[in-house]
Amino acid sequence: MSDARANILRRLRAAPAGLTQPYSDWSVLRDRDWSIDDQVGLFRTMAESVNARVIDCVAPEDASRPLPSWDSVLAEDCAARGVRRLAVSAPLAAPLQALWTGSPNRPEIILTADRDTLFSVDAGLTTARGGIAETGSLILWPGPTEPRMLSLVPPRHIALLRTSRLHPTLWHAMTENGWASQMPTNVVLVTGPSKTSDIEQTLVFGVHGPKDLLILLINDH
Amino acid sequence: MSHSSAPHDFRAGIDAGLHDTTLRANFRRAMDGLMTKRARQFEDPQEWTRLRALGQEIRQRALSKLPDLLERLEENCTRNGIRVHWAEDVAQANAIILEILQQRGITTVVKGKSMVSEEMHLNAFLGGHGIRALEADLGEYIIQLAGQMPCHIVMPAIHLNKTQIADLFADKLGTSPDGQDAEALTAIAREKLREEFRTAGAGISGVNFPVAETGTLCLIENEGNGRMVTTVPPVHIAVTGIEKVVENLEDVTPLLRLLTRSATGQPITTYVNMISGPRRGADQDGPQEVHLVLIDFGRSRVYADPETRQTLQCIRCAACMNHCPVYVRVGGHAYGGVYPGPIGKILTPQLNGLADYPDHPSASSLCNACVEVCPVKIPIAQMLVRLRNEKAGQGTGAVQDAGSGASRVEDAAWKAWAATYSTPLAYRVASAALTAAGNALPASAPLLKAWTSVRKKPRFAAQSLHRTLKEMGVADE
Ligand code: SF4
Repeated sequence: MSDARANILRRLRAAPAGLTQPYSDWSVLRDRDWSIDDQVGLFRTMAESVNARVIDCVAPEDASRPLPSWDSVLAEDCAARGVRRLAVSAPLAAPLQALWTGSPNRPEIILTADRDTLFSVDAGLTTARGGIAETGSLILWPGPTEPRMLSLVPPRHIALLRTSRLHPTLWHAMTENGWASQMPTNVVLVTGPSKTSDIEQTLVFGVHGPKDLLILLINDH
Repeated sequence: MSHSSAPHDFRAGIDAGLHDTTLRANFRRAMDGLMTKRARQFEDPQEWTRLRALGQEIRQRALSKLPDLLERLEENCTRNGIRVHWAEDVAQANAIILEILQQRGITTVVKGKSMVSEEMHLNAFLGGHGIRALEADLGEYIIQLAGQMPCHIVMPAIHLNKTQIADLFADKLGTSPDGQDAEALTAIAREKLREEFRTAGAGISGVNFPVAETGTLCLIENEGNGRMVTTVPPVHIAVTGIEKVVENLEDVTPLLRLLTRSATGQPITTYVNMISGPRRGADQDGPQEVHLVLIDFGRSRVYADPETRQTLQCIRCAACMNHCPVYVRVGGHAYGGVYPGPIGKILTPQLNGLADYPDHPSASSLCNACVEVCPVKIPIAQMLVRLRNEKAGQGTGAVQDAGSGASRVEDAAWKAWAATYSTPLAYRVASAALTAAGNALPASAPLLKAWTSVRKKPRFAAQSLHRTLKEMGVADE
């Protein structure tokens, strides 16, 4: 098929020059003067507007704020929603095991990347590398410790997000962290649970991806 | 290659669309909803103006370096482990995909939404070789069951209402046709497709933004089917038009904002996938192979002319069709081809030839509604006029089948019209004659009939506008 390649490129190179744009004004994306509190507020509003659930919490060792620890919020939510088998991301498995040992009524913690197991669990727990205030999006960065399917195939997805990792926009997240030089095989932005409005434009949640998205917002800013 | 069949009969499609009251009601409701949602996203005219200027600049910058960017995309994809293939026409592209599947003994593929794969008639082609290709986007799943083409590039099944879909599911899947609302119907599709995702041999998807700088394939969607087909099966094959490539990763951000807000009135879609290769190193899952098929299918010809090249700026948001007074009344199927609405009117004849789609450039009142909403500022109306000229043999001949619609009668009529309008005496004589005798012309007069068969015959005023203004004392109209 190298002929096709050569033919296409030859035709394109033979075309006369067209419109070029020497300069672009990016200020419409760049200019955001939001405080971190503004960003936290906006993130919550936007995420909730697409049916994500956002619960404020803190790390277990943090006693500086009157907020519950994320593991207890998680345990409560799993109990309330009947989550018995919880697949978790590798870095979270050991801490969660330690925190929950000896407590009754905790879901079973499953550490696996096996496809068929992940298709059968009740929920998947992942970290989030960051968040985007303007759209209420999670930045997921799956890789060696977190399978891609963990946030996709179980019917519920629960994500841990630190408020200190919020960015005003996707453009800020991308440019300030130099994504272009270190893209992993897969980055996913997730904004709310899976949805469709393909039938009469009626909004329905939970098509192929998770039906429920819970964001445990760890206040650490 | 374009004269394989009779030209597309747009007029028959228009008649069918106009007289189908269910279809018209379904479209009206859907387009009103989409227009309202979009308008809410662009309430600040300042922001809209600046953002779309940026979007247009990014697309034009990319097109101005297209061959270089394609080579860079190939190089960076290859470095990431993505195998890049090139196809000049549909037959080549289909053969590439078939070979990948056959070599690996794959008999079932799941598909994310891809308009390019519609251009390829890929499902039918694979079916003919014993490979089952299953659409996974809910709208595409519905129309695949119905054996139809998409009627809209973002909402493929928007021409069907829930009763029609419930009946279709009952017929094809054996579910109950009664009392099924959108939620229940969605749940049926979810159940059916989950097992398919788990066991399919390959996933096929489109690409919204291939990024040259990083060798990344960006794919946006709401349902999660795009994630499923690009994550779960061992092989992922992405197909995309050569014109889609953007230069830098950051270029994606304004285009993404423009696309989701223009298309469905969302600030962002549920999922934005950025795929930069098959599983690597210690990755625990993801496909073992990723292929990218870059297709031309007539795009390099559109590219050859700097004016028509602007057609290739399109990011497929569908705003132009949502706002088109013609599209909303005749529906997407009237257009034939893969792309309906204003973008279809300029793209289809350029890709497939004016001889096969002779009525596309004329099916517009040039009202400019599409131009006002296009997020990358494609001058669609100007392009329609250009195509009309090309069809009449009055252009540069850049477009496929230019001159195929040349007509001596039409040519002579316009020459006479031009002569009348540029000679004061001739103009006065002609308008005096029409004022005096125009109303006496029967509606069935030869040239008048085409107009009066569907409209009232216009009435000529008792005196010309010139005279009226003169009598009113307007000095210099
Ligand atoms: S022509 Fe413009 S409005 Fe129409 S689909 Fe393309 S980008 Fe959207």
